[in-house]
Amino acid sequence: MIEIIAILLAGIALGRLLHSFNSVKKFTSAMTLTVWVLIAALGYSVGSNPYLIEHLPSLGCESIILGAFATAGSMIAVSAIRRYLRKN
Amino acid sequence: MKGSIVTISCFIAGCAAGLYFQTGTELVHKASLWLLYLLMLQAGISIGSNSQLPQILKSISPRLFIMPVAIIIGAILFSAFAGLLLAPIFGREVTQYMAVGSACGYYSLSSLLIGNLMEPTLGVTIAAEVATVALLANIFRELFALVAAPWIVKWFSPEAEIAAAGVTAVDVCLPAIKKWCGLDYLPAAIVCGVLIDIATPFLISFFCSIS
Repeated sequence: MIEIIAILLAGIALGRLLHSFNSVKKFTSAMTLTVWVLIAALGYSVGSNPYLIEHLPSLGCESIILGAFATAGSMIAVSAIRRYLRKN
Repeated sequence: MKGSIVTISCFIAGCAAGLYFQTGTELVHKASLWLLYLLMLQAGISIGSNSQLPQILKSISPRLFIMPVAIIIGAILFSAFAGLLLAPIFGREVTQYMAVGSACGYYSLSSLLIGNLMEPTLGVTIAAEVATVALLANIFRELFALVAAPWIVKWFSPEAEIAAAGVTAVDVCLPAIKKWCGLDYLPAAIVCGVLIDIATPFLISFFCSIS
């Protein structure tokens, strides 16, 4: 975990230093490509595992329930403080 | 929307490749780790080079942080509630669900981070399971915020739509927020999206470390 945070922080510092260079924008726009390759790799690790393929429907159900709870949680929390947000 | 479709297509294509060509697992695993480091570098540079960031940071006041903090805390708290229900059924830990929930719609980074960070302690299979749940749960969140925007605004509030969108309030859901919430809510959407974008990698890493 520590190397992930360290690389992230180093990237933030580097981005701040080099923000005026156009090549930075090109480098970060390639982020989408990196994501797609990594997502395909995640799909590969799922597809090559018979246990995961067999349990994909139940993973889907689990995901819908968790996604619903997390979204509802955010909406409820913001609704609870809405009066305070609008007053200010 | 197009980005989500491409992402899901990449996932399905990867699944298909894994079904038919199972010999490359080790190579894919090693390459994934280095690509993840590259992604974190790109994510960091993207945050640091964001032209809106200095303005947001200059105008820091407690009020500015209230909405994104509420969005994140609400997501984590209710993910914990979901975890209490789901953990006994699926044999997981509540902190794993909190890691997924703390992503607030950031489906790409959350699934990749969770997959890699949980693997050393939980093994390849369970890490890939939780990563898949993270991918799907956060995609559902984004699609819900996008498709149900008019009803969320009508039955709840414009702030609730920004909350539902989470990190996607600043990009994918921004046009929907502009259309259904109004121009007045664009600054709040951008601030929420940017601040949640910064916070989620740290939160996901934290919950993965205690899982």
